Amino acid sequence: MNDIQFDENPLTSGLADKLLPQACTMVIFGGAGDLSRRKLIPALYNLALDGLLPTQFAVVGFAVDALTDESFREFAREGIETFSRRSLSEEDWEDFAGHLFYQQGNFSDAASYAALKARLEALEPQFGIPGSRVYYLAIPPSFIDTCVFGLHDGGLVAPADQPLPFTRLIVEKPIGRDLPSARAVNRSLKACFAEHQLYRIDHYLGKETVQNILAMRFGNSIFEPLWNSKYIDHVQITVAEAEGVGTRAGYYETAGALRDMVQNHILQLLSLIAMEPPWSMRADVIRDRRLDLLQCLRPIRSRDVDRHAVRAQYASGFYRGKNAPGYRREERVAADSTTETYVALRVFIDNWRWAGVPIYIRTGKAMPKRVSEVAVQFKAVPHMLFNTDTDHPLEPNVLALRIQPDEGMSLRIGSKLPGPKVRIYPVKMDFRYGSTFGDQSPEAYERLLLDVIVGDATLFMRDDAVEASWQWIQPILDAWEASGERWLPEYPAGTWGPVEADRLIDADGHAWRQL
Amino acid sequence: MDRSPDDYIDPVQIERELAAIWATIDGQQKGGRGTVTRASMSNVMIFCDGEAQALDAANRIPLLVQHHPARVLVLALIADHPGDDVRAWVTAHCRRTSDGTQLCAEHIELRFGASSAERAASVVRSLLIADLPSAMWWLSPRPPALAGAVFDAFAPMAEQIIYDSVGWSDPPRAVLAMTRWAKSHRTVIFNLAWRRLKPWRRILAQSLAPTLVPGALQRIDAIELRHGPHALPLAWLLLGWLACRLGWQPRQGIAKTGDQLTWQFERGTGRSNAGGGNPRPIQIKVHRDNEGAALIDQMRIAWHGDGEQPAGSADYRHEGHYIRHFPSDPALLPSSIPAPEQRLEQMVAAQLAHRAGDALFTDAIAISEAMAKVMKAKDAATLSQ
Repeated sequence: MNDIQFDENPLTSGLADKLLPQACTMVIFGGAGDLSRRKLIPALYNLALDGLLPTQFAVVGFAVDALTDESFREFAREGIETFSRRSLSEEDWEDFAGHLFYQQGNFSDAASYAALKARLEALEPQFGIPGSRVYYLAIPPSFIDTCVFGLHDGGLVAPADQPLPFTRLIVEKPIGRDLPSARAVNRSLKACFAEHQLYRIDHYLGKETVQNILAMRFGNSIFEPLWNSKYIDHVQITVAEAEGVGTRAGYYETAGALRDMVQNHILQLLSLIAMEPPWSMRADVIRDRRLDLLQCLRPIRSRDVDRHAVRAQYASGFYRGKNAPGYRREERVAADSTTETYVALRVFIDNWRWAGVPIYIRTGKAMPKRVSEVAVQFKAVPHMLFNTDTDHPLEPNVLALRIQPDEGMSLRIGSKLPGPKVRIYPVKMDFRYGSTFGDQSPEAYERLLLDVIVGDATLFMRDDAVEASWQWIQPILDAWEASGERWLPEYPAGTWGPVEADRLIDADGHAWRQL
Repeated sequence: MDRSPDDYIDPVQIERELAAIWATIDGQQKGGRGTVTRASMSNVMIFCDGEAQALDAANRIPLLVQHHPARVLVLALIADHPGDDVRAWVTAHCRRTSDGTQLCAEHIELRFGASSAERAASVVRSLLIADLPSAMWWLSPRPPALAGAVFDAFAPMAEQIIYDSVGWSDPPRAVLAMTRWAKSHRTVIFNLAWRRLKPWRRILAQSLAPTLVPGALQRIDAIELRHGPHALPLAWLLLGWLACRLGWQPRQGIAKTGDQLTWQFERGTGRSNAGGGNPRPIQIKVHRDNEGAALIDQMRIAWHGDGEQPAGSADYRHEGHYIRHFPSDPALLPSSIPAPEQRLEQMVAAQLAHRAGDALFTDAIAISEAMAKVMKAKDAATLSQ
């Protein structure tokens, strides 16, 4: 008979960690805000329906709004009814609502933290929660310092070196708006929390298709041998949004596409595509490999920025037949704004695997459709037997990983057309999540919140990775800042970007993919 | 899904008939919306005893393939099937996805008599899609290992056999037969009762966690459990799991009446029990209610005090689609975990995604086997569902 380890819990054996999250309270700073209503509470509700939340669990909304427990529950209910992927049932709601509480408070006021602490200490024993807490900062970046120190000074942070009770802090992007400010944010966070208590969230990494990049690369033997400069000609990463800035103009004016998309989502995506194989799936092993990759990105010197980067703004145009305004005509956008809504980059990775392989990145708003994909284009065969007409060469093999929508992947190969002649025609082998697996996937926030509750930091950004990505971005920001240009290249709304971006890729003899 | 004798075809025509169905669906799509996709993650054989169960299986297939697209083969053993021939019937189940794609899964039924199992197996072999996992869902209430030649004919084609012990008429005999079969085969076996127990395992693991009730797991000395009709195998397996995780060995089992069962377990050599720790046996009582659903309705776990830690207990009740935990400590609020009623085909679809064997399940049925062995033969015979 096995020796039973009673100081651990023998009943948890065989139940996946994800099925046994530890008892805790989640405190949502900005609990009465939009992110809470649209994403966090519906995600928690769906986790509860799946039985994935701890049985000893409470949610406390913490914000300045004058809500009570009851009105917070109404607010939560409305959010679930509107935004949850599964509809609300009364029995499930009754059960879930019993775990929701609200504490009004001012983030800058020490007394509010004292009141929060008292509330938590009153609630937690009733639920059998040993004081373990997850704080979610769903607040504007300017409040991060205040809240972090408020928690710390208010005695709401458990010692980092003890397993229980634990304290974990979730911080939303952006972490800073440039390298110095990112470092300052990290300094503040680390003044009050240990790195292993910090979860810098990038919801992009919670998407099933992004996670599938690792499964595809390292769970199949056929791709990795080809995953290098010997076989890959170039890579294209596209993250296109169909909408303009809309209601986010206020934030977007201070950010722009480089900060909003490239520094976080796209560099994280690139790191998964290009990183070296990890030796285990442990969080820090994966995060080390991602960091290695970010550190291999060839710096773009300020004087080379124009050769490797294009920025642009959308002008008025048409989206699906309808008039679409130009960026400078959008509400809350300055008439002389130089904020870029589009970025194209040519990136090189200076390591053995990727030497000489260009990575082309493009992202923008007001594009013809919403689409995110990574396309890996392979080199031509070494000796051409078919379609020897140089004006009509064979289409290269392309492995396209579709992140959204129409999640899946396709491989373009050449096939002989039926008939007496030998004619090669490009065909696609297609895998689509929806067609194969059918069921709805969990939302990214469900996966990520659960990961925090169970203490799995794999899909979160570590301080060194955040700073490495800012470090690479910073010369581009500096060059654009220093240029003093009053007008950026433009592209009509509803198109794939400016001609300057076409020239960037055309200079290497390539073209953007038709999506 | 009524069908007349004329609807049945010779098995050699199955592929041709499927091609015709695909051509029809494709033709309907032309000029319409979207494309047609044949979706198959697995080959799934469903073994049924009799016509009524075959029709029941057919009704479950649309939901099964919605969750796990597959080529489904219904294998219907018909007691009064005329002659040695195997009769076939085919159709496809289609649904439209949000992007307009028509997703279709194939459904093939074979009907045959007891003497034609090998003949039917040869049809199945020719219809399995290559390079896809193959599983058999044993829908019949007979335990597969007691079904004899008909099980032996189809089992080698499956990498996983999914069965359901809920409703077995003679649990001790069936448990012994299944564990013996599993020991001599490499095929993964899976009991849907184990999946039904997942919420129970989760709430027990969380509510009895050492961080919440220190030392309770080592000091359990009594369990009382009530279940509905046909749910004894569920209770049996849950107790088998608890015993296996807590290092208990069954010493004696007594079926006092048809609806009450007791076991006595002895503690093992857990680290905290070392040095002559806790000699008390664990007394377990299982009661069957004569009405209600085939579920574990209630459970009470009690532990004694030891000078440092107090005695205590925890009550669990299945209410609606939640299992609720009522701690004896009045300072603690009750907790709960969803245990929604799942249709069989949903559970099977979920299980099809788990192709590796579950070591914990194997350990649990090993203790279940030991629990069956200590049950006195005459007592076991009195057990009914």
